[in-house]
Amino acid sequence: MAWNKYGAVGAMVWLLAVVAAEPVLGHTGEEHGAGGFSSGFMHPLLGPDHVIAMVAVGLWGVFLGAPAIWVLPIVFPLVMALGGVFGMIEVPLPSVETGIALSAVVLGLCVAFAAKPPLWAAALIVGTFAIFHGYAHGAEMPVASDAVSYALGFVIATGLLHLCGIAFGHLARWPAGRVAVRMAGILIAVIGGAYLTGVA
Amino acid sequence: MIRRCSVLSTGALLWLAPRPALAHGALEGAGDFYAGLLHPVVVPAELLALVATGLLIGRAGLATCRWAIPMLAGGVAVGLAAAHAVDALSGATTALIVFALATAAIVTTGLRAPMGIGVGLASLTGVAVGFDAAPEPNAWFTLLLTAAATLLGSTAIAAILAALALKAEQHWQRIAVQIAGSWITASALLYLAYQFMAPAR
Amino acid sequence: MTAKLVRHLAATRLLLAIVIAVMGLSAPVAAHEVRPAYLQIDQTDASRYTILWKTPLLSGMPLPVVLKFPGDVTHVMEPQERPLPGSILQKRIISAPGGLAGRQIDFVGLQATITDVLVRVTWLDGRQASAIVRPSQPWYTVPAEQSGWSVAWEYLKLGIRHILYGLDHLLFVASLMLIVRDWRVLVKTITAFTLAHSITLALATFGLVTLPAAPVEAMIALSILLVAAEAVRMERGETSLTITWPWVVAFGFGLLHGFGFAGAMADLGLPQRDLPMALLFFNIGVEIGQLTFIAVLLMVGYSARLIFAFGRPMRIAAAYGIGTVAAFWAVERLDTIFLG
Repeated sequence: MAWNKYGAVGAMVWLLAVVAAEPVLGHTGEEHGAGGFSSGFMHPLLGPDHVIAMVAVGLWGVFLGAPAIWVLPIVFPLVMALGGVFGMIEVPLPSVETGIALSAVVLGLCVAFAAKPPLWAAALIVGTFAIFHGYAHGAEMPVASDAVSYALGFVIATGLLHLCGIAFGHLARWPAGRVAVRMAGILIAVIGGAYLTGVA
Repeated sequence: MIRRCSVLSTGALLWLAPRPALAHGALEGAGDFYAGLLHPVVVPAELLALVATGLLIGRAGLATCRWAIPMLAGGVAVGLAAAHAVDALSGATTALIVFALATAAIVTTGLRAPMGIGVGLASLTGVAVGFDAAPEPNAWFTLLLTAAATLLGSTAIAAILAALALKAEQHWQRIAVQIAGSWITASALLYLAYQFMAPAR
Repeated sequence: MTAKLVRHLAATRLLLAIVIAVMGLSAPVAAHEVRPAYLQIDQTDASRYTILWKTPLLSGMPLPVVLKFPGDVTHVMEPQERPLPGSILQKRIISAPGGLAGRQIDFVGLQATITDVLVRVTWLDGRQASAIVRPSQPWYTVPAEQSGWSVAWEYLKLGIRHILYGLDHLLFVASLMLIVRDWRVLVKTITAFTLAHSITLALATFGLVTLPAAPVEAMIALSILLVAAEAVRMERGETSLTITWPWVVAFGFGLLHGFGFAGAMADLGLPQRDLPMALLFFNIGVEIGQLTFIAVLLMVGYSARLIFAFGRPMRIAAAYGIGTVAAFWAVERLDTIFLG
């Protein structure tokens, strides 16, 4: 029956539309954890080096192709959460900020050269970055009254950045888009280098 | 069968009808009803656990859903009822997150859970949701209305998510379910670490 | 494909957000009176204001709330009371040196009630402000300025709240959905209902057509009963006008429900000035609430049918249930008209 499919899709789209208007409501639901959610959501977006490195992971996934492009978005949040746990229990990890900047450089270069290493090597590079990234945020997780929604907002923001990278990376299907994606990789590597050398 | 369903529901509604009818359709308990209905949606821990359960049983297949959803509803009812007898509500959030972690971890692997595990986790999640959502002591009618609404809301969330996961036939849809599982697992992991580490800091 | 994926994934977060939004609307008004009090402040010159204070009668008793203005405010005309059906209207003229902007008005005694107060301020230059004061914070600070959008926002919220708390309208929509089986017919039916109730809501609010409230309420109850009965007939495989052309019936009864909405709007005591704007946004609020209700019903119904495959018994039980409640209301409301 046509009804099933279109009805359900229509209902979903409507709910999404109403929800999209939600930020406008602003003041609603503070006591229900919206405050924790939005501060958790904003947290990964406030560090430019984190943002570019996460987008780079998504971009690179496109060059790596299947199955990496599907495996990365599933595994990445888990490894990052593990890094967050390390950060909270204060596992000694050397020079975290350097590690993050370095991973931005490495990931940016991988995109720029459209590198296609074996899956384990890619997983190692991305995993290292995920650990450092999670560690930095885990160590500075605020004493939030609503830790569940904070954690959720944090993970969702990270995942969405990642998916943004994948979406943008799909430009690489066309030759011109491929050049654009590789240029973005160079840009990411340069910005990462700026953070690494302390220019930015 | 059909007739019995109709008679039962009509009886239940007849019993409830006189009160809502007092205020000409704008029923007095509407606020309490919505508060109960939306409780599982606005409390993140309950939502995470219910979404994870829905995805798990949906991926596990139709037969698991048919058992797990009534068991979940029963669990919520038991939890709601028991919350007033047992005065240990503080652990409910941690229990919810532990169940969410276990359930979402299975969803993340993309494997089909055996029926026993699906139904068991759904029941446990139901009880924990019931405990967590138990309304404040109030007039018995308000209590009943809020509790019934919570039961309705949490069962509906799990059922909707289960239907979504059941219908996830294409490759990218299954990946999407796995990604949702991964996000829930990661959030639950972060929360639990925070919960156990925060006092130490 | 990826855009779809992103949207799909965002659904979890978005679902959380929407309900926070709805909760934000519904939670603060939990267990509140449906009829608010109404305070209108009109500036007549630099320091003079006309104050209209309309309070609902609660089972014949006036609301135990007293207005308290800042200390330097003097009465030019002492409060005069006039009884209205179901409420009391109090009028006074005050003089406030330096104007009321930024000053606080207290509602002494409001915290002991469950009544909201709808406040509206109009300045000399035609600017307006409005707000809802709740018993938890029984005071109102007159703002220096307020945009038209925040007025619209208040009425939008009132519209959403009215439909979500108005069980009879929701049950009517639910019973229509038991009959509609196709999304094209659904779109037609909902559009017809919306169009019809918008027409009569506008006509009644502008005072072009007036109907007494009690018979309208009783007719609304009967309309629900009729559609629920048609849903049962449809399950038996019979056919009728309602089953073949549900949008015709939706339009006809929509006209009736519009008068019901108008009654609710009239209870808010709207002034004539920005009536079109208030009406528009109240109506938009009603549509938002209605579509949200339909979306939730569709999703729950779809899931239940998919998993348990008991669509038919569920529909019949729902039809009988809705019909029973509607019949109860019909009897009760007719009883109030003829014997009350």
